[in-house]
Amino acid sequence: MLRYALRQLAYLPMVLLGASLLIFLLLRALPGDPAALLAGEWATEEQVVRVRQQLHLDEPLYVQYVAWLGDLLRGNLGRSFRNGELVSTEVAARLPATVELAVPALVLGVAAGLVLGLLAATFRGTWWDNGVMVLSLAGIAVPVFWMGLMLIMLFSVKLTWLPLGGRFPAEGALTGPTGFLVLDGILAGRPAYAWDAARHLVLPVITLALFPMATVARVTRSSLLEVLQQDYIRTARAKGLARVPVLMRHALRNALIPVVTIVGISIGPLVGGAVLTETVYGWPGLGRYVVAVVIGRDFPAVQALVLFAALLFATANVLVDLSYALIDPRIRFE
Amino acid sequence: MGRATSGKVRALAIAVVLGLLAWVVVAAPGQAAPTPAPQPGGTLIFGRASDAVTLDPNDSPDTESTLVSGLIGDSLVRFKPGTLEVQPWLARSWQVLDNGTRWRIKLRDGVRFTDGTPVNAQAVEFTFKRMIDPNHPYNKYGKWNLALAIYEQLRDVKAVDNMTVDFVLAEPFAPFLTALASPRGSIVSPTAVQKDPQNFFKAPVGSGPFKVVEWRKDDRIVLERNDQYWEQVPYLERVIFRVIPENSARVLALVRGDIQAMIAIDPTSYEVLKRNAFLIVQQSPGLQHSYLAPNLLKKPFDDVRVRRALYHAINRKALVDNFWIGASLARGVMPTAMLGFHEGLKWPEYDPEKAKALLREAGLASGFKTSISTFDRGRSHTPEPAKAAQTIQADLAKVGIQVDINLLEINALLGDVRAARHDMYMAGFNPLIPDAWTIMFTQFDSRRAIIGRANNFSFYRNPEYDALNDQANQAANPRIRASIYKKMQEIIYRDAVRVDIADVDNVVAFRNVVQNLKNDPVGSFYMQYVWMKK
Amino acid sequence: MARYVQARRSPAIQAARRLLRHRMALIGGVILFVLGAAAILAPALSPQNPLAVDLSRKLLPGFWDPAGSRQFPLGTDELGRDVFSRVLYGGRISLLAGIGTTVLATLAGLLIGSISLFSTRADTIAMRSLDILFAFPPLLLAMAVVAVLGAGLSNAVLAITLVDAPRMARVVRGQMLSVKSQEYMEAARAIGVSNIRMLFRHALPNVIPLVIVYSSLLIGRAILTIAGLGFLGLGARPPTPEWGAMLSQSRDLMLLGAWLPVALPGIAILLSVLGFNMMGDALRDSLDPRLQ
Repeated sequence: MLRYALRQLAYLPMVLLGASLLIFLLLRALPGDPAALLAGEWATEEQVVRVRQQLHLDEPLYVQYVAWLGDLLRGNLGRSFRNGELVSTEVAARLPATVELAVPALVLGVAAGLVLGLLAATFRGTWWDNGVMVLSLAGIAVPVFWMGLMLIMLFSVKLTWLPLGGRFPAEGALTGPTGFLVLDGILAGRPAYAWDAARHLVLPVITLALFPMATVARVTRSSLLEVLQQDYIRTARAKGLARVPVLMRHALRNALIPVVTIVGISIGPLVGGAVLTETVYGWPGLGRYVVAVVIGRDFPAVQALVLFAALLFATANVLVDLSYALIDPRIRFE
Repeated sequence: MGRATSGKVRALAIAVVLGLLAWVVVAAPGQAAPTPAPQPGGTLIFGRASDAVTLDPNDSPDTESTLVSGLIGDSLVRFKPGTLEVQPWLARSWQVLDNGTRWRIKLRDGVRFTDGTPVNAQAVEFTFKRMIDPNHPYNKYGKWNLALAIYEQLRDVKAVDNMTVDFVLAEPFAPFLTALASPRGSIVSPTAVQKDPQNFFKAPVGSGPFKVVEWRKDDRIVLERNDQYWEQVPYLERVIFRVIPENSARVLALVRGDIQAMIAIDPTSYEVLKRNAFLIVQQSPGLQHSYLAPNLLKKPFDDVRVRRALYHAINRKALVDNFWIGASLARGVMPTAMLGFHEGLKWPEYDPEKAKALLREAGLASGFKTSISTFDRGRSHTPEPAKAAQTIQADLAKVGIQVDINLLEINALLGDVRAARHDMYMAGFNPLIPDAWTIMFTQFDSRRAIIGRANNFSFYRNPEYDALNDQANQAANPRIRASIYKKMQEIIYRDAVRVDIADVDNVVAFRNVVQNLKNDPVGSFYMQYVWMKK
Repeated sequence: MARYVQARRSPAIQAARRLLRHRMALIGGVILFVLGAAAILAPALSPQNPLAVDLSRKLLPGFWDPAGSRQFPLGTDELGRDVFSRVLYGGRISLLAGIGTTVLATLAGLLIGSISLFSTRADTIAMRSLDILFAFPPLLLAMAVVAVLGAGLSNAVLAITLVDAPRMARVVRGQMLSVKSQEYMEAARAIGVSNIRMLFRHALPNVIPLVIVYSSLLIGRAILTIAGLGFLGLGARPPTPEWGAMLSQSRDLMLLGAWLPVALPGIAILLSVLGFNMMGDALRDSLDPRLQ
């Protein structure tokens, strides 16, 4: 297993290169003249030619590919077709919003999932257990965007407790050191602003946390249950040790191993979930940006974003494999 | 207190309360209270669905951008508020020379850009040359798409002296003055462009009533009052344009007071808005127009009977009633308010049987398959494209025409229709300049039907029509122009080129503290006269 | 992979587990049966044509409301189309599309995964290539494909097949590898049994159970992804009554209090995916008691 994981790590650069080639070719497989599209409705011939030169569209494919790769490595993600802005600027502007949403969602999902899984395993067979099972089954099956709509309908429209989407309090964004509105509000000594920003975060975070919470709960529960069956636990119990300390000391530690894996595996669905959640709540992050550039056929941006996501995702996968191999002593000595 | 006494006291209390209520109701707003004087101060927050693309006034590709950039720059002439009459603005006076190919414009004295530099002939020359001359050093910092369309006839711009500019045209162009009133003809500060050309589109400098403070993409644009404005210094201290893409969120923001005004109102939002006592929905005559254009290059739309069948098959009145706010059924290819509108044409009525008969005549008794391409989200001239398209599809299905629907984002959509890839295109427009030329030339002339760079999305090519167009361009007398345009409309009518759906007015909803908010004909507002009641 | 220690279980726990398995299979089976029946019988069960637009009767409430009508039992949407009929027909679309992509992905996965039986080199090339596809988060890859091909249900199906086929291939391959090393396979090869025969007579029957279990998981996920793409406007195009697309078009109706067009399609998606997931879980439990 460790060898497998290390091999995956070694292959990572090649895989990413292959992914970049795939994306590059995919988006060149289009009908129509990209230069004319970029130049716009009223472009003169000279302008179209100039655009074609700028994008190296006249040159052979491999030249374009190498030029693009070179740009990427230098941090130049290209220019958006729609407004001519640097893609890197657009991404940087939206990244804090997505992080502000995704990190709390992941933390909440994992923490809540752990607690629920623990409860279910400890009190198995009771209503707690059944409840958690049902909840986690539902959490995996429910469409994340619909859940968001239902939450909005209940908490924003009917009860008007929480705002109807968006990220910014009425007075707009706050420029701060972290880029995260809640933190910046507190740092700037404006608790009311921070509170309002936090209120905007509540529903999207809950919505995004649902799927990770469900998966973590299930895995925690089954992993704990399996460990609880192990002989050494039964020995400890037979020796007369109380239930909870046994649980804590022996079972949990071992049961947590696959959970590390699950957290890593949650990153993929989190990306998809973020795209849908941001769309439902009008959250101005990268998820919504991806949708906009796909619908707008803004290929430089699509290229850069999908590749960026692949980088994150593939690296996360390899790290998960690695950590799984390293953490689980049983596996390590296979 | 005894029982009897408390009963009397209660009756008295009720009477007093009723009386107070009555007084309040009677004295409610609407009574003859004297109009208070405008008070300076306040911030007006607008909500809309999409962000601007660029704030460079000359480079604006759509209404979302013009809405803001129209407040930053001044044009040489403008439309008198409430009319389509052109009045001097940055220009003081003008002469037409050389048989209509040269316009000599004298500028107003003493106007400055917000960076302090003077508005003079050199600035005007710089502004226009930047747009039309590909060799101008600052030409490459913009696309100038629509500006080039409006100023197509412009060959050269020369500063004659400090306050006089010559505009040289290739041919006489009667609507040229109207073209100068477009915000795309706003004069910008050459100093500012030269200082930071790459970022000018984010922080443009003009001589208008407001200047840009901040632009956070997809969030908001913040404008602040230009205290040195040469005409009416705005009452408002700041104007903020916020982006709230979801209709429901925008409406709620208006209801809660997070924003004070909103545009791009769809019928669902309208239902919510009109129930609210603190909101006003204002409709003013506009020149927006929406239509369904079959692509004449694609069979079977090359057959006029099929095109006429489309007209009979679609219940246009139902469309307008259900999916437009503040709109009326189109009665021609141009808005009824425009000069040259032909009153006398009787366009085909909703009559599915006639549609089927025409299709039978054309040999298509069993119908055919085609598609509609349109926007994926609402614009001010077409707030509900998807629903309208589906309704049209249902109508056409009843006469045997099977329709697929393609919902595309604006750039992709324009790419398709310019290249004549579409079967039918449902769209709308706000005329670039409020002159019949915009429609009659750019939308029906064969010189605008070049595959790859078209604006005549019907790809209608008729030399007889083109010839009339040239005549109309050169006729200086408005009445002669109008009669030529009427003849051209008759040709379009005879050829049933496209199905016109709605004439759309300008609709804006705002809280009742906002005073004197009036649309201008070119996509923005006369913001310097707006004030907020405290 | 790890070899689990075979746990000894008390009879009570074994029975409880069997019961749970039973219950899940039962519930999942019932849900799927109802859904399948509704989808097949949609033309017969629908009171109206799901595409019939009639603006005069838009946004009707359910039949229990005085303004409602039995002809439109669950109300109408913003174009006057019957919500119940649209949800029923939407079931056809979602189930067909979900099963369709999974069948395609399974066939492709079987094909690619079986390569490991015959040639280690080809297998390595195949796996490395698939690794590239694995580098992309699923929804994003689907979106990128749709960006190129354009919106539409068939394109969405194609995109998701591209995402799921590598995953199925990996599962198949894993199973094939463990089968390959079995003694009877070596024996068969020694005797000279042809490759094709080995594949179909020996290898496949061992792989099929796992494939079935994994397929049911994939179907559920495919249904969710198709609905997600539909919601984003990248899947089925209007007026197709696909559940995700229906949700995106109806969301503004919440403000007017019309909640049926918004609630129902989502509940339908939830139930479908739940049904397949439950079945999959139950199948997995019954086919391989070691896995939990």
